[in-house]
Amino acid sequence: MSIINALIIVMLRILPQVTTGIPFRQIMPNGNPDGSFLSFLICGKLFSIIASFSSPEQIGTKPAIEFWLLPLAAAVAVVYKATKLKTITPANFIKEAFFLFGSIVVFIFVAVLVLFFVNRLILS
Amino acid sequence: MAHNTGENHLPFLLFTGLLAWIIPGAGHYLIGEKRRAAIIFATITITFCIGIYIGSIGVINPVGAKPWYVAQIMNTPLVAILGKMTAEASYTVYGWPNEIGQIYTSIAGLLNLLCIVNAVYVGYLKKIGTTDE
Repeated sequence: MSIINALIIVMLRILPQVTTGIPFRQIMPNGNPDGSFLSFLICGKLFSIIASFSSPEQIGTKPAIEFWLLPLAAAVAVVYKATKLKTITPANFIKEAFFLFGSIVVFIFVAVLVLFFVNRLILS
Repeated sequence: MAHNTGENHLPFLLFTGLLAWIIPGAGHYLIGEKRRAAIIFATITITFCIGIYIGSIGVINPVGAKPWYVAQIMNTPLVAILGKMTAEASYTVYGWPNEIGQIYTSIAGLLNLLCIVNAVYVGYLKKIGTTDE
């Protein structure tokens, strides 16, 4: 499986399924015969993906949509570390970016807990 | 030791900044930071694409959402083409997809602004180092 194919699967299959609950097969019913990027192109799915950029996704109002913050936090961590590290080696970069991503997520989780308890205090 | 002035390097630094704006990561590539360039290009492009995938290209709205548009155009000047398209035709966008799409595309733009500044700064430091040696 090519890197591009893997990225497309992560971006377009897993995230929408987690957040909307709609199986990917309902979005692209014919599937991808041999899983290669070439068949992906031949089946015309690339064109349907490009066309899907002209209409919004079904996100819904489930609490799970909050998980959309995770890719954004990861992007912030990766770009920040890419500009700040003096030398970039794969192991060092992944470690640093992972720790920054983790601290952002922990901070958000703590903020959520504080807001939750403040909300409960106000309501009680 | 050579005497350094800012104006000696100004055209190069301006070109670096401009290139970094036109193609995310290209500024770092120009100054020889190829790994950084690849990481920045991939991350900013994917973040921007996720944004317009969730909310549609309608999230780029130069008429009704100018502050967001200013941040979005920091991705690349090519965003102006999408802005022109959305200004001329009506693309349906509303609710959560609109907000998430705007946040993703705008954050990608602001991250690219950080990278532009960083590329110019690192380029300047490298120029000074090269001249001093």
